[in-house]
Amino acid sequence: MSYSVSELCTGCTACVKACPVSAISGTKGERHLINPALCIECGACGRICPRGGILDDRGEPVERLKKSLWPRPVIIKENCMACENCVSACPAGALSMLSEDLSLHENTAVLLKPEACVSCGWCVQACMFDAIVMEVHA
Amino acid sequence: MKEIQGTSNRYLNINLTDRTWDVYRVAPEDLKNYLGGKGLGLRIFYERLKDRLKEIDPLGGDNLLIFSNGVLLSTGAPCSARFEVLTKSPLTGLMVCSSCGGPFGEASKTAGWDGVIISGKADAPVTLRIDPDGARFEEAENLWGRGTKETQEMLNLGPKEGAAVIGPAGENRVLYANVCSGHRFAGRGGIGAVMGAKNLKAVVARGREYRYSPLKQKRFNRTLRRAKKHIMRNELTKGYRDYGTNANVSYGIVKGYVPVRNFRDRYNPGTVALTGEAMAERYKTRHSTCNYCSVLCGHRGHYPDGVIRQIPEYETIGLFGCNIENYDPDKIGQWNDIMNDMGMDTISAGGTIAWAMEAGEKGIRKTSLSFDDHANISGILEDIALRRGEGAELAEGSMRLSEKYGGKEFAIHAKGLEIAAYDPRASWGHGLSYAVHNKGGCHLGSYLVSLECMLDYMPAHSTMGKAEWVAFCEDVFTGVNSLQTCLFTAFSILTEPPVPKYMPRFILKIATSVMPRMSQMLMDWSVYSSFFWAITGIRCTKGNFKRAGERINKLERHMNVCMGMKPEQDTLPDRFTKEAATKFPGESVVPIDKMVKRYYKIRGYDPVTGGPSEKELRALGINF
Repeated sequence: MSYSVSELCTGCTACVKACPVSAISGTKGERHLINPALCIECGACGRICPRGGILDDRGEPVERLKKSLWPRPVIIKENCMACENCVSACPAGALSMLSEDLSLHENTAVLLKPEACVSCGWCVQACMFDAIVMEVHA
Repeated sequence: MKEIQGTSNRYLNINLTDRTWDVYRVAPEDLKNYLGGKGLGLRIFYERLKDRLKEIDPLGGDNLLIFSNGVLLSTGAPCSARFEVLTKSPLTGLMVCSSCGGPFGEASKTAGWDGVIISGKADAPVTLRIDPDGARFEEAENLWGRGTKETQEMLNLGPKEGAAVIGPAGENRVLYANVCSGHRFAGRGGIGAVMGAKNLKAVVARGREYRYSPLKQKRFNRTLRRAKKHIMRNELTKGYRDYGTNANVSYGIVKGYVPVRNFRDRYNPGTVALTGEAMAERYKTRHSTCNYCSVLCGHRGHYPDGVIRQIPEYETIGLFGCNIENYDPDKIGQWNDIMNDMGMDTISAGGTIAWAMEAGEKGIRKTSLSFDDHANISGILEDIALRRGEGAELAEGSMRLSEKYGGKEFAIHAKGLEIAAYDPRASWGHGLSYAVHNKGGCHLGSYLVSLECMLDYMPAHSTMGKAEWVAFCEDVFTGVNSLQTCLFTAFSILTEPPVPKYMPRFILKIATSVMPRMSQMLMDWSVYSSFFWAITGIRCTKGNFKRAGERINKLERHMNVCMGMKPEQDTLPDRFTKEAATKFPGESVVPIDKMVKRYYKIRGYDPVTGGPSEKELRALGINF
């Protein structure tokens, strides 16, 4: 199952730009299409859509949400073991390690590109050390 | 995303010859008895081919290649992103099961499959693509000849995909070629050669379509908390986290298990350059692990030539370091890259090269290899993968070479599988582990070196209790490989409970030797059984779990006997049983016959056939 585009779509292309895995295609002004093989069900397309034209995997319309209110990962540095699994799991390339020069014990993951984060939560799922929580950043 | 409670109990059943597929459904009774992963894979192999196990040509279309996921995968349990690959080994002619931590397992599991059973042989190179709807076959001519890294790049894998691929070594049927997923490997026994012989270059799974939830969530949460707590506070695990498996080098120098000059010396002061501590400093190491890992033994590092490389594991460091008289870790890093890209097992490659060096030194066989000169190793490794020049013969492994030229006494293998980098003269129980393990000279059958030399739980130079401990660890570890999670969780799961942790070592040593069965009860593996119970809803106690491990081991042993294994193969090379003096202080040979005899008695194996009796098989519910 994946997200899908409803008849409310006007082809504004906002979702195309928001999708981190290039799963959405379509001509401007026409109804777009989500490729289920590529869709990672992050919901970014739905939260950005001005028409409420995206349906989730249960067929429910996704509510629009201002980007500044999207929950994003907060790294709890004391718990982070610098395993880098969150960095490699992130489909949007938003996470990174603090520095290659720091020692293994000092290094930690950081949200380097918050604007790229799509709130998919894959980083939380990948972390085995309870070092990531999703929160709305101030 | 759809949800599956427990596990899917569905395997994709592929026939490469006519490019068709259907679904194999697992009977609930089989899941209960064989747990999943390795156990269920063996059960499926046996059911399909039990009437002609001996006749199967490992490199023919009749051999089965099984990718088998466990019930723990995709549940969020620690170190659970693992899958097992099983087949009849072209190197040993017996069953081989190898565990891998790459992304293929999770991708195939979340595509809704508990595994993939591959039979037949494609008429041209093919890539198998699997998703929740089934399988597709794609021509792979453009990938043939490519290394494992380039192949995975050319497959353009998306974030939902994971692949298992072979390199040129597998294509050219090097008998110890492996299967690569991400930067991890199903390393041993030539599984890559089987895949190559089937003309199967890659299996790509597209997952993230299903999520799995345990049937007993509260039990799962409770067990998860306990597992994490144990793994996080265990000292041996901390060593692996900081220095990778190369933390073993320092123990090996002190205890005398590091191999030197094809296992002749057991000691060389130059080995200090190869310790995990030295390499962590030299390469400013970083974690580079399997997904969902909490042990974090995998590392990468910054090499002086500017390349960031995966730090070789202890076995590679031992066998391409001190064992061939090389004390330059930079070179091992480069060779490791070549072998990983070519897709071949570093243990068997190292063992075979060391044999060739000694054979050359003794004038048994002409070779360009020498303990004194390592300039040609890179070229030789490529020659092996491409079966060029001397490499064509080296691709056959040390057993076949020693049968052809002589020098069996220093061909360091068990049942044809090259022995890993622990000299058993320093760790007798580990020697028994090599000798009797169904797969051959693999260190992970029961890994007794950890209890004898690292944790100091039992005297290393004593036969007392060793057979009991090998059988016990084999059963629990086989259960772990069937769940499956990483074997390295066992250090903490088994030894963190208060009794073994805080009991004075000298009392523990007496207990493990004199009362092995009773002292095994001090260990606690209920985390594993409880995980199985929580996920599947099938009641599983510690006893049930160990009994399942025993059933799986004995089934595998029975399959090996059917494939032609003889009891005299349960032994070690003469080097370990006859050559007592080394450069390490103190003399030692492994009294292997005594320990094997005891092991047979405990296992109920017939000394004439080497396998379990019909009565024993019946008692375990194995049809024959």
